[in-house]
Amino acid sequence: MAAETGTPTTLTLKSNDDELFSVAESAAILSVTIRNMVEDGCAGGVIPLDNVDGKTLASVITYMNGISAIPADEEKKKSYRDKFLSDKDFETLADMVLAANYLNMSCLMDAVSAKIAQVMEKKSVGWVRRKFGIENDYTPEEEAAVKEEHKWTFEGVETDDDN
Amino acid sequence: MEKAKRDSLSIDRISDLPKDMLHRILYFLSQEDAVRTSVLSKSWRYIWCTRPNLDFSDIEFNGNKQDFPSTVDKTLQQYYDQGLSLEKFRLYLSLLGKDYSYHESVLLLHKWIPLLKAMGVKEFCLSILFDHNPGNTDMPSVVFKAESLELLHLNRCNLGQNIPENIPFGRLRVLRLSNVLVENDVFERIISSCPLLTTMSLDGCKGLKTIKLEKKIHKHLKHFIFINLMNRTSENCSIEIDIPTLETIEIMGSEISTTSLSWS
Repeated sequence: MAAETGTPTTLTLKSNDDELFSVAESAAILSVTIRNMVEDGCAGGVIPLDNVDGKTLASVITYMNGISAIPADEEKKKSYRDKFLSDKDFETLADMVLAANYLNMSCLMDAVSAKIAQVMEKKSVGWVRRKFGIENDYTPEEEAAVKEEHKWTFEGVETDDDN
Repeated sequence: MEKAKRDSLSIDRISDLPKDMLHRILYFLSQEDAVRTSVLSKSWRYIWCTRPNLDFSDIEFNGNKQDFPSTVDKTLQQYYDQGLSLEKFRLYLSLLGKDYSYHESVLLLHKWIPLLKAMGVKEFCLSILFDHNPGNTDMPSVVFKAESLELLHLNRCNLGQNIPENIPFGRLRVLRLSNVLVENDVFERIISSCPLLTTMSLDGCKGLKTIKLEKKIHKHLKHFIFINLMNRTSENCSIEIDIPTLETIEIMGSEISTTSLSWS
């Protein structure tokens, strides 16, 4: 579909490690941050995205292209998002959620947040710590006290010594 | 399956995320999964306390069921006292009347609903199952004063004349009544107060003689479900629907007669 002004506009995005990416404006403006730059006329040359690295930006652009190719059908968009995130590891998800926040893409941010939440669901504290590399800085006494305070949340979850 | 090495992180990325992003993640967790994150590390201790939603269901409550009301009560009061913003509140009560007396339950609702109203909760889902014979238990009228309700599911109760005249259900989208005893005038009073209703489900309701739905009042209604499997010969209910934009109608019953049916 050709834009009224002629050929579809392409934007050049630059990651913080100096990789350049071409992306159709119609897909890129899914990011409110980029859309605002376009509307303010700041998108003529290269758009620097100082908080996103090349690997993450490549992934976000794949998402932008994929989702903007789907017509207004929430179900199909949702299944695209699920599929898109299904093979991402946690490191990538953490990068994506930060990038989505910086680029102001609420649909991607919600999808990634929900995906991370899904990983934590019904899992023991020990499992979540290991999965996300969270260091336990409580003393055993402090930890026992916090657990005691919320005793009701510790029944029916996996035990801590599972691997 | 991913390899174990790739599956676990050595650097903690998640704890470094800004608080509002952690809230976003916790938003998608059940209440107990969210609360349990307080044990992860010191920086996680109070993150859950300020997430923008609360989600309580006594079926999913793992602790002693007797402690459920006080847990909800304590948490709600904490949000209120600290002036925290609460966007969404989900409360599923299915054991009322089993573990707590009807009187206790009513007192709790009388306390909680005004609190939610005062906090300006945007989305409020309430599902109540009174485990009594219908007709014995009048639904407290305070439920019908919860302005921010978007979903209301009532099960096994009696909607009597104590239901207020003016019901502020301007946001209600889903209304489900199951095994509810409700007279026609009260029913009309309720449904005429819900202009945004998209789904109406009536299952095993008694006392209804006619259901009349018009596009003038329910222009957003998409789904209508009416189920009456109890073989009560004396109770007939006639249903008239004039809403061209309706998408699905589901009617189940032991005896159904159709007088006129026209699709546009």
